[in-house]
Amino acid sequence: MAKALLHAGMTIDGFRLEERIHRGGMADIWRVTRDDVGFPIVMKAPLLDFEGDLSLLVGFEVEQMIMAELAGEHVPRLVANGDFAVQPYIVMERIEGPTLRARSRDRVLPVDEMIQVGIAVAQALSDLHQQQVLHLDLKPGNILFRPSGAAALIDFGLSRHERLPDLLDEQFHRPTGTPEYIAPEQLMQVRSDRRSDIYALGAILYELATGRLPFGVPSRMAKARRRVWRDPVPPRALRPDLPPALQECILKCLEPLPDARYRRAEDLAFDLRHPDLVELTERAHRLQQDDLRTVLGRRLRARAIMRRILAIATRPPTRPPLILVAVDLRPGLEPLRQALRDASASVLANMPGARLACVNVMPASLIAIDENVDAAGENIHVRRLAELRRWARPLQLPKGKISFHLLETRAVAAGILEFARSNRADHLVMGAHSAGGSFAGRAGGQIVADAPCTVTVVRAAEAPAGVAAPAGPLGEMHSKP
Amino acid sequence: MEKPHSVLVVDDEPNILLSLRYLMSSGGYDVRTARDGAEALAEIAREAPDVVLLDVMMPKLDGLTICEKIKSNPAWAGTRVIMLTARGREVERQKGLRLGADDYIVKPFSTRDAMARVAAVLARPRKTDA
Repeated sequence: MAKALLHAGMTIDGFRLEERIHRGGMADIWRVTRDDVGFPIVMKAPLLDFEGDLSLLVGFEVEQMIMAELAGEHVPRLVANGDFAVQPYIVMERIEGPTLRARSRDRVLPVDEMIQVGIAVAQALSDLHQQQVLHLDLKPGNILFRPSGAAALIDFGLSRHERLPDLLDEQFHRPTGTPEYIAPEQLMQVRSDRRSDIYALGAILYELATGRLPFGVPSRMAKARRRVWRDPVPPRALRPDLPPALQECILKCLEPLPDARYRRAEDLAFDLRHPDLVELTERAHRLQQDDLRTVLGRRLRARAIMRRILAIATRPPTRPPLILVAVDLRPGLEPLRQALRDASASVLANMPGARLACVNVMPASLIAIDENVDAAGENIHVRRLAELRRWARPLQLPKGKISFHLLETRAVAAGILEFARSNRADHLVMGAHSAGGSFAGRAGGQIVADAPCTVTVVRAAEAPAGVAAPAGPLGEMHSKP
Repeated sequence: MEKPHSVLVVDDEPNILLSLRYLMSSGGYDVRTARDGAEALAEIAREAPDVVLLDVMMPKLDGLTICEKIKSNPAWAGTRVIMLTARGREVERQKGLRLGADDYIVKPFSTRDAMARVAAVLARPRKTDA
């Protein structure tokens, strides 16, 4: 790293340092210019003596890495990253501000303004989370407002990208964040729960509403653990004109258990935008902290509560639901296949995140006789897979949403049931027809009776010529407990 | 040949977009999709559809806000709105209808019912025609 001190007038990689506009604990912010950049820019450069604390250096590397992944109006536009071997820096769009810290200094915000701020920051968080980044150090000093009113988040030195290595987690085993705003799970070094940012936003809204921090200013991280068992003074006790719906929103964000908070930042934005639709609980009407006996009880159970928080916040992501559709590819059944396609689309519409597994059953005897090659010399497996793909094409499902499987089995029903069980299918879609099809009669009945999931049995809407397929409703649902 | 009715499906759940795009296209509609409120408004501004199927809970702009924007813009007076609301959220439905939505569908929904409601909303006179 270059040891020369930065000074006004010097040029680095074509950026001319005009003036230092901010000196922080770990970095300076310089107003810089470069001829080919047509908008105001700043350079964030780490203080040269910050090498004493390795985590700050790593944090700067994290910020460079994460800013390169971000886009949109809720973050400053990245212009360039400086090489650590020469001079580390981040040059980015200058957002004039002010920060939320400056905007709210020494005053509580009027309710309307507070709601607008809350919506703007929740939208910015929602956008950040959709880009798979967790801020993890949200506080008023890290929030700027554009002239449009949109909030922009800055300072990603403690952030985490869900698809990139977490350098801070790998290298340092201590909580990271700002004690005033940090979520309980972050105190236990969990850096993977989006709801940690929602907690921080709750603490910010509390501060904007009351002029006080919900849990004061803990002198060290260990003291911040108090928030696990001690509830904050209800905001309306400090500010009676605060609408109950707003108190509901704030206290819901500040719940110690992540599952009790808003699931997504956009859900919080929705409630702030439509306070008349907020479902009020006892949180909305609280005017006192919990009594000492209750608090003492929680204090005594603190370890158990923290274990629960940890379990919730580190829960592995849920597996996407699987819809299994059994497709009969024999000639003459096109109307049935059409109905299967329609039914598959209908089931998909009501299963968020689900994917479709298309299965065709090949009697094992067929393979044995033909030695995998049909009369035309084509490989049967390849041909059937191609037919399955052709069947699914109108659904236009992207990769990852659909898979294709051939099952070789002597017993059709048992094969399908085994596939459904071993892949933990959530829903099975199959055809019912009386033309001697794979699932006719007893086989179909056995699948419906023994399936480990909900089954939709589909009938063709119209009988094709020569096939006595009964007309009937699109589907019948058989739900399993 | 008569121009098919146009439908814009707006939802942040990809499965709903994929399924309704397929089913509505099969039903003869001209279908477009949008994944969030901002995209939806851009699509409507590009060309106002006959019907918008609009999820209530979405990133960026929620469905109620979009419904309000559609219904307050005279240029989009010909666009009917069907809200997609969650089960048990009666207040959302009431607010949607108050803001001018033409109908609502409760999730989880039958896609056949959704298709029937689109057809029914298109068949009846617009609220502004009354």
